[in-house]
Amino acid sequence: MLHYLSPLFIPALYAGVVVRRAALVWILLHAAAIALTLIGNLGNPFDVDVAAMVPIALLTAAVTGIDLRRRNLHRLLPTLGISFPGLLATVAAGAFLLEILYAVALRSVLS
Amino acid sequence: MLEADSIGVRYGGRQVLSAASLRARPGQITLLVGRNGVGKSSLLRACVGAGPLLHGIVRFQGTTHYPPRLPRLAREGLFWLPDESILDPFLPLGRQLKAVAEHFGTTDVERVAAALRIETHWHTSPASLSGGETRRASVAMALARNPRCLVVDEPFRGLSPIDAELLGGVFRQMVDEGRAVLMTGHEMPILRTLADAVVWCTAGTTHQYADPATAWDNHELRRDFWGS
Repeated sequence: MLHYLSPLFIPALYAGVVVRRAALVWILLHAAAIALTLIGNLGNPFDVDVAAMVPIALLTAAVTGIDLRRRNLHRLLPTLGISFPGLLATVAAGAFLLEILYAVALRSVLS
Repeated sequence: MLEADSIGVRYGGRQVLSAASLRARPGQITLLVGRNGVGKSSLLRACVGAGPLLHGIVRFQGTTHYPPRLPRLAREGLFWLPDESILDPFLPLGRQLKAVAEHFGTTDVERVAAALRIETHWHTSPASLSGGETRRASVAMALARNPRCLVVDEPFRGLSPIDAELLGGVFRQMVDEGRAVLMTGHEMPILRTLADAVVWCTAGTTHQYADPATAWDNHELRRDFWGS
């Protein structure tokens, strides 16, 4: 079961690609959200909306998945024993965890 | 090693395969032949869990897989090489080969690259390789994985005769080491010299021939596939 989920079973080179791309997508999504909040004058851009955590995690996984397909990893990783949907689920879970850490960090800094 | 029985595949309303079977045995190159559109690639994809499967059973190394899932089969030593590139177009080829070889404990990946004459592209990104070079590099990736069974769709498509011969030699060496190779294709001059067993795919089913000479002498196969 772990094989379906854990990026630890991917050759390090590809695991690095997946983690870097997912992190970049996550940062860009947050940068866009902050920019839109500032432009639209929608309040404090660093006030984390808990309701947006799941959509942002799913969006991170979806955009990362599109990028990994562009790199043919949806063909390579399954034939190396890694489930591609399982990998994207791991990315979504990782992004959600990052969301929680981000929210906790912001609140402790802002309070 | 790889056995599939009663395979059925349907795309939309079209039944492509109704009762197809195949065997890939260790130490043998098994060739899957048939006219365009009879479902050869669909059969390979269904057997390795990379495509739709309506019904049928797949056994690999004595374990039954229903439905077959490629990641699970891959962990047991199967490598599926589709007719599209599996390489990351943006990472240098050598880094990719080395990463996979190190992960699976394969040694001599440089020797593999040299055998496939891609060693000069070690630092090149696959995006800038030609079709034939990409094909050879994909086979090098399969060898870096060190699989027990290689299932490959149209490995010789678009290759020059000398490159096809080179690739054929690599497949022959793989089966000499006790692995199984299952392939499909239409490049009969090279495929005829390689095949140890033949599976003829026609009318939604398959016919197996342990001896290629028997297959080539079959007048129905000749009429349906060779056209003479």
